[in-house]
Amino acid sequence: MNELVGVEVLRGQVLPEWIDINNHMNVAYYVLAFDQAVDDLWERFGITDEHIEQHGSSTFAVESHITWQREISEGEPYIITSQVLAYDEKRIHQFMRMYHANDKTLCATAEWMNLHVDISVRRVAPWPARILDAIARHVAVQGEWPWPEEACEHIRVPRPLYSAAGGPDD
Amino acid sequence: MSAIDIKGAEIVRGEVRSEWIDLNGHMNVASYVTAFEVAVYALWARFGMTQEYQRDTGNTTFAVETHTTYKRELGAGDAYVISALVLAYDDKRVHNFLRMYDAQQGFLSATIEWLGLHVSIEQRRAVPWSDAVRECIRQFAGSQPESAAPSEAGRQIRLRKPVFSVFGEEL
Repeated sequence: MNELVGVEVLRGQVLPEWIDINNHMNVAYYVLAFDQAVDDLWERFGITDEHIEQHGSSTFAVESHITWQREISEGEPYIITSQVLAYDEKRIHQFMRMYHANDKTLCATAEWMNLHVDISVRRVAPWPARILDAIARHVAVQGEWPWPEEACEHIRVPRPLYSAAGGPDD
Repeated sequence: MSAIDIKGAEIVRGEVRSEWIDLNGHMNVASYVTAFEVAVYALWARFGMTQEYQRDTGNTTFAVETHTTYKRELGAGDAYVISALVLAYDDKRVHNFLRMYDAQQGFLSATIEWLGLHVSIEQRRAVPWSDAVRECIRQFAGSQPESAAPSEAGRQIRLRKPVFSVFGEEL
């Protein structure tokens, strides 16, 4: 049995409506499942629905890179983990892995770049101090993993405060 | 419909559905992939890979890698147009680049790189393109006015031994 890489953020099951004509989970629903995992990770940083509503502070995805490694079918359970690759004052670059929950094989990966935005003006804004601090605490304890081979070189934080070893700039 | 300036061959037009809108009041990340997938299927049909083709040959394509850039928000009801460019292909893969434009104002809303693999549905294994499909892809790629790779197209998603590539000799 394989070891999971990354911090577990979400467990789920492939829903019947996620299956396409090829009788496997459809591409867009992987993105939906990963997006749900992003929401769960954000909650750990204090970016909850209440936070978004009260402070007008949210994130927008600006770039995502998905790789499909094996098919997954209706009803099959999965686990999504996250590894933060880098962040700066207003961006976060993280890498998620979707594993089959039974045999722990890798089904898909998602590299995701988000910007922190001020919802009222729909413009980039620095993280609130408390969230920046939560991200810093998270990366300090998330674990030591090398830069994933699936993570491509052009999704990146230009001047990161933190960057996992083995990245494109190393 | 006002004429807008688009790059690539126009493939589909659509409108942002209300169920595609998320908490941030704009089109959700996953829904872009849904919209782009419709365009990918329309492109496959131009290459001769229709539903009948799937039924008759038992072959289809699976996505193995995508890279999306989100440029500008779209809201419910916004009309869009998607164009396509073939970046590269080989005996069983095609690397496409699609752009989604706002159909009224003409701005670029999102781009996606899409690496599709031709597979046998029964064996779930990669198989070469039929000669007819391959010829369609060759003609499509050959007729493209654009000669340079788009700036959004990354270095990571690419074929190792392409038959055609807009990246040129550096491969």
